[in-house]
Amino acid sequence: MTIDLPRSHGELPAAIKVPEDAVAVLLSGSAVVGWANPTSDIDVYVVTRSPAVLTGYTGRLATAGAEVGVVVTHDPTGRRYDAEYWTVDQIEALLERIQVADAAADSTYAALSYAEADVLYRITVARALVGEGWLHKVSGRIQSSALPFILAGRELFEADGLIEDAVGMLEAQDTASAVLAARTAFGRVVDGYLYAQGSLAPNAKWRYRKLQDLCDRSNSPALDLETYWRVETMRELDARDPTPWVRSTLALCQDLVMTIDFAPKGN
Amino acid sequence: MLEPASTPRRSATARTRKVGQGFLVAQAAEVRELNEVAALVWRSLDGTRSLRDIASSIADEYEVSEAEALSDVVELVEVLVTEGLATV
Repeated sequence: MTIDLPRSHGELPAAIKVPEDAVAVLLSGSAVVGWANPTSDIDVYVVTRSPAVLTGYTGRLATAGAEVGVVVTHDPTGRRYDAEYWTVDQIEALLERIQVADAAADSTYAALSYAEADVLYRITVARALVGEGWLHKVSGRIQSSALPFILAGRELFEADGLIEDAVGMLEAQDTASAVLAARTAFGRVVDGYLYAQGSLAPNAKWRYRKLQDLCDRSNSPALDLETYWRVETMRELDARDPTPWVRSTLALCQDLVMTIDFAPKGN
Repeated sequence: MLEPASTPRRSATARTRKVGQGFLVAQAAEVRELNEVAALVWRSLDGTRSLRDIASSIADEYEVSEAEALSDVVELVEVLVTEGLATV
């Protein structure tokens, strides 16, 4: 569904102040991407040269080495707005950290927090109320960075551990835990695959939507929507004998992992 | 020595990363780099294809004799099995 979005920063709820040194005011999230529903909120990103001094702010988002101001408010129709205040330097520091992905160094992938991955993704799909040029430049830098493979590597690192767990649990005849480990591993592998394809939304709730979009624009996706949904919804799980489902899910994970190419671009 | 009719499979716990045409594969702390040809063998270790079938594909793809391909495939897969990366 379509949500009416503010067309200028003057149409934002009054609680979302735009400091004089703001270089960008961005709208992002599901309302901009086209995935919104009647209760969706609107995400606003205000990027300033110096840290914003917020009056009446409702929280701070702790990220690795930095804090980001957060304002949560509603417009007169009751629509919720979440605004985050980042500085140019914080964004620049993030851009520095996503230039290189090393397939053999999984442990480095955990260094990017959820909030950091989220703001980077949201910039790539944002609409500018202020700072169209800044958005274009920064979005381009993110899209040409190693971010997809940093995020994919982190997912596969987590999936590896879950797969090992699932195998061990089957050996110990803890099949219920093996089912949960295999299901979680599958989700993380699918997320890794989608990241590597450039689909950067970090919230798992968008997994189906992301794969659907990918299948719509790709002639031969490594994972088709029907197969994905069959496993995600555990359609073929036999509760009396879950072992075959676990094994086939782990095999599917391995097949999908083998399609994710970590070679630097241009190789 | 592995039999040409044997049908090994990748270990479920083998960690794999594709890098270009090859793979990095790991089990516990052991990491092995597989080149393009070895990567083709790795992909084929699905528990249904025999070493002879895999060697035949390699021979077709790279224009080597089936005997030579089989020898190389058996040698590689024996290493993978020894390192716990594949099972028979």
